This record gives sequence, C-alpha cells and structure tokens, in this order.
Amino acid sequence: MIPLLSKNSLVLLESFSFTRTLYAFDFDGTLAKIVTKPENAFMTKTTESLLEELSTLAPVAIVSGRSINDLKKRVHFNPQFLVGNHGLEGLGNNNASLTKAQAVCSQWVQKLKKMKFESGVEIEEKTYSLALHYRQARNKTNAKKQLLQSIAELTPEARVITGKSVYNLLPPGTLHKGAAMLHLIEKSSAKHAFYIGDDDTDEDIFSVEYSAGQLMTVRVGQKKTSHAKFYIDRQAEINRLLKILIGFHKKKANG
Amino acid sequence: MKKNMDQLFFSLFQIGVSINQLNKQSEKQLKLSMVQWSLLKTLVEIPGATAHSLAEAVGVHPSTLTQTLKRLERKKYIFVMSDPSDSRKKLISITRLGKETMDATSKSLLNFSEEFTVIQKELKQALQQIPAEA
Repeated sequence: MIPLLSKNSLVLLESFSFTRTLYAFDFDGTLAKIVTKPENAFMTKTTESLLEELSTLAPVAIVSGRSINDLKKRVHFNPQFLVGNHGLEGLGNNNASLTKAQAVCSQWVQKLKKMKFESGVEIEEKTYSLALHYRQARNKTNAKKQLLQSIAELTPEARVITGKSVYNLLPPGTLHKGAAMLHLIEKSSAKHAFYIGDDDTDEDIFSVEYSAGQLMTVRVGQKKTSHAKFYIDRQAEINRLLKILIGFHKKKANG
Repeated sequence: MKKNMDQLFFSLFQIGVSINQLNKQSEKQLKLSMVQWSLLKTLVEIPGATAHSLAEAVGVHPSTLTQTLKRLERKKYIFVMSDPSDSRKKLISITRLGKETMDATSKSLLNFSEEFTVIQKELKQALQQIPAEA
C-alpha cells in the first residue's frame, strides 16, 4: 500500500478523471467518523457539501452496510447511487430475495434476543441484515466470544462480515460488497471506478477482480494485510481528498 | 499477376514512407508524433495501464513501446510508477500535460489534410493492385 495523497499517486488519480469514473465511498469510518453509538454517525456539513459538489461533476455512490432508509437520514442530497445493506439494497434487487432475507433476519433476531450477552452489546436490525455491535461492551473479549458462539448457533448459517467492533450478519446466498461494486460500475456506465473504505467489510471490494476497466482501491488507515493499493492516513483526510477530486474535474471542465 | 503484386508491394512501401514522414512532421509541428498521440489516446482510456496491457490495446509487442514510452516520460506526458501490489510491475498514466498536449494535437490534425489526401490516394492505388481473385 502507498499513500494516496502523495505526489506520485495523485498523478494516477488525476488520470482517472480524464474518462468516466465512478467514485464510490463507504459511509461509517470513511465519509463519517466512527462514533460510539451508530445512530450518531453523520458526515460533517463540509464533507456533505463537497460530496454533493463532486456528484455534479462525476457519478458518485455511497456503499454501506446500513439500510437505505437509515442512509437517507444521513445523506441530505441525492447522489447517483445509494447502496445499502452491503449490496442487498439499491441495485434493483428483486423483491423475492429481499423478502427472503427479511424473513431470515427476523428468525435470527428472535433467537438472539433470547440469548444473554455482555452489557453494552447491541443488536441492530437493518431489515435485510443484522449488525451485532460490541463497541460499548465493558468486556469486549467476552462480548466477542459470546457473539461468535451465538452466531454459530443460528440457522440458516449466517454470512459473517467483521467490521470495527461489529459482526455483520447477512443471509446466505446474498451479494457481497465486491459483487455489488461490479454491478454498480455497470449501472453507472463508467469504465473505471474508485472506491474508498475503512474496514474489513470493504476488503471484498479491494480484492475484487475487475477486468473490464481499472479499479482504484483506497483504505482509510494503512493496514499491511489489506488488498487495497492505496491508503489515506485517517478519516479526517476525506475532505482534502474530495477537494482534490473536485479540482481535477473542474480543471477538465475548464480545459 | 506478378506485375500487379510488384506494384502493390511498391505502393504499400510508398504509403509506409508517407506515414513515416507524417509522423515526423507531426512531432516537429505539434510536439507529438502519431505514434505518441495514439499511445496517449489509449492511456486516457486505461489509466494506470501496465506496459503489457497498453501494448495489447494498441496491437504491438510490449518491447516495441519501450523507446516511445521513454520519450513520452522525458517530455512529462506520462508518469510511470511501481504497482503498489507488485513492485515488479509498472503502472503508466497520462499526465495533465500529456492530456492537454494530446487534445491540442487532435484539434490541429486538420493542418495535415493535404498529407492525409496523399496517403488516401496512395492507398486507393494500392487497393486497385489487389488481384480480383484475392
């Protein structure tokens, strides 16, 4: 991994602006900083304004584990694409598969609510997936152990995506973020794409094989084992990145 | 038949000479030869291409591009960096200067309408040499 905001990497990033490129962003930890309570996560006004400006210059997508209804409360403009529940929502998914996913999640919730967990563990119901948060648990080690044991008892077997102090449970057979990203690129009519995310739930995208064009992958925070090629140091650099992208596209428009 | 083939061969040689002259003129007057322009045009469509994928896109062997890529890099029309996930590979990008020069060249191509007409005539003559049964 190398820094995205270095002189050399920015030449490559700029070259993506010369042709139609989709700019896709994870939400929590990327556009909005990680907070103790998920309901308190919002973009700053500056970030939102910059993202909105970018969306007038190039196609923009927000790809999140949150449900679309939840995302809409936190995004006060209309980017070209809002993808929720790790790809389950926002890509024209058929109703039958969503209904099935909802039924499986209801089943899981009923079972999980009967189990005992460390104080501070929170079950977030996102209609088509679940998020089991343990950020606020006093004893995180114990909370993790309990959650993993309970997840192992769920039927049907859940697809687990580990995030920052959270286990995301998706019904079996559902799209992962990587497949969702490929679908999104096709829908946007872009040939190339840029994606930035901050945790293991984004590794599906970082490691996806995209042969029809170029995919520039960026992680928030350097991590040696990540499949992302580039990184920015911290979430606070997102505004600087957005300004740079806007600058590239404005130069192109004026040139 | 043999005479036609000889004439065809010679016509193709003449076309090659005209194209070569146009290439040199283009570089002298517009700062980009046709070959360089074609590579830059391809790079716009494949940002961060490897030499292999670039060569494949233009239909030549990667080694054929080496000298041209070096010239473009010296002129700062392209930038070459190591692939972050495999330092043995190089990623090639067109720079903003390269893009602006390429766009300016595209607009100036009309300056060579006379030369294009000559090549077009030579090509027509060459095509007329191709035997009917071919």
